[in-house]
Amino acid sequence: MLYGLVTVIIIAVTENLMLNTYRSFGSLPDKVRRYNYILLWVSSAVIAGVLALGALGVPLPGLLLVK
Amino acid sequence: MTKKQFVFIIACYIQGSVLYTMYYYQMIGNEAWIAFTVGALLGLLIVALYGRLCETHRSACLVKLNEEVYGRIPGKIISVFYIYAFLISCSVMMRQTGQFIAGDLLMETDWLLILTIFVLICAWASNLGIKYFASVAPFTCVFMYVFTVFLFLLILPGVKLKYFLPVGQRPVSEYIKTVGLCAAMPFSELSVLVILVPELKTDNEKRGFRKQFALGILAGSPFILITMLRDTLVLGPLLKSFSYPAYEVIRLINYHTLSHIESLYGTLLLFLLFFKSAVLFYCFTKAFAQIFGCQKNIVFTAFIAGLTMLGTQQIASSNIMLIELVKTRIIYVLLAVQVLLPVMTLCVSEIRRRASAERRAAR
Repeated sequence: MLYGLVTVIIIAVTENLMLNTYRSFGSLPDKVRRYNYILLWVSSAVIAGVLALGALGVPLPGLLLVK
Repeated sequence: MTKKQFVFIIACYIQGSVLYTMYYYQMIGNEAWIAFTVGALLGLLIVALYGRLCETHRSACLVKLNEEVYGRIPGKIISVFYIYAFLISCSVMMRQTGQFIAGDLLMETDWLLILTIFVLICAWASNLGIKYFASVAPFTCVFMYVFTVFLFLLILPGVKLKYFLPVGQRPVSEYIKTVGLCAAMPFSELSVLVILVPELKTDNEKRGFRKQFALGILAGSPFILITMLRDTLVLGPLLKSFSYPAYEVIRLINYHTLSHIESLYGTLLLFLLFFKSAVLFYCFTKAFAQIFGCQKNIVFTAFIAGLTMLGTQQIASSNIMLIELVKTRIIYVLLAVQVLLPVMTLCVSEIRRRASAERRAAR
């Protein structure tokens, strides 16, 4: 039950964020929009990659070099 | 956002630091409230510095301000140091919140699960923009005062004035370190709010920042002070035994039909923590957007959500380790970045301003 609720919340929030992102980019000029899309996907891919490494058990450094 | 709303955002931001009290108690126990009062006075000096910086660069947020003072690339590099400090503050806040919920409100729940939802909700609030924070802050600030004073009255029978003693029996270095910690967390963290300055509606409102920051501190700090006095007078020598004394003390209220009120207080406390975390998150995304020259903060929402989750996991391996890190490292990092860097920026800005005035006069 708890995990079901959590899944619903996560999906709802993520969908809302994505919809907002696409809507807000609509008003931008083509060149700016392209730049924004590139930044959005590159930054998301970078952080998703690091998070995936952490999830796979690769030891990551602490935020203050120690944990 | 108007001036008054900005003041309330500052006040609410300070109120959101209520769980920081556990670090103060761990350092000097029953005398923490004295250190906090001195820390707040120091905080007034620190925000006078931010106010001065904002007044000299009215239309610039923190990143643009650095670029105006140091030049484009060095300014961006200096801004990265601020972003590192914001990441640390955000990670400490979210770690505290996650562990507070997992340890006291939803026991037996994995804190990482709570963290994921919390970060997503902060991202949602951040995407709503400054209007959301500006509209929520005044009511939250006033309501929290009323509710906290009400709870203080309910717990008055358990108050023992002898718990104020002993006073002044510790080494001076402990007092200095605790005052430094109080100045660093939460007062130096107010530097993040410099990012909100361009959001003030009119040029007329972009004046008197020192006064606004000072009013914000005067409106927010008494909340923490009341909480600390309450915890000290009720828990006394047991202050160091609890992870979150500000919450645990409410469990002791048992006044006629009013008992188990801590679950309601916990929810309100959670909202304060959410407010501060969401403001940090918003300023964080805005700082990144400014560094990369984007008009939309939303570009970095996903990145910041991932980064804060990663930072929160990586900052410490346990709650005890986090307390140790706050006492030995975080305090110095925050003071170096959020106090020394602005001092340096102000000096460079003044030197440049005078040099350009002299050049103009020579022509």
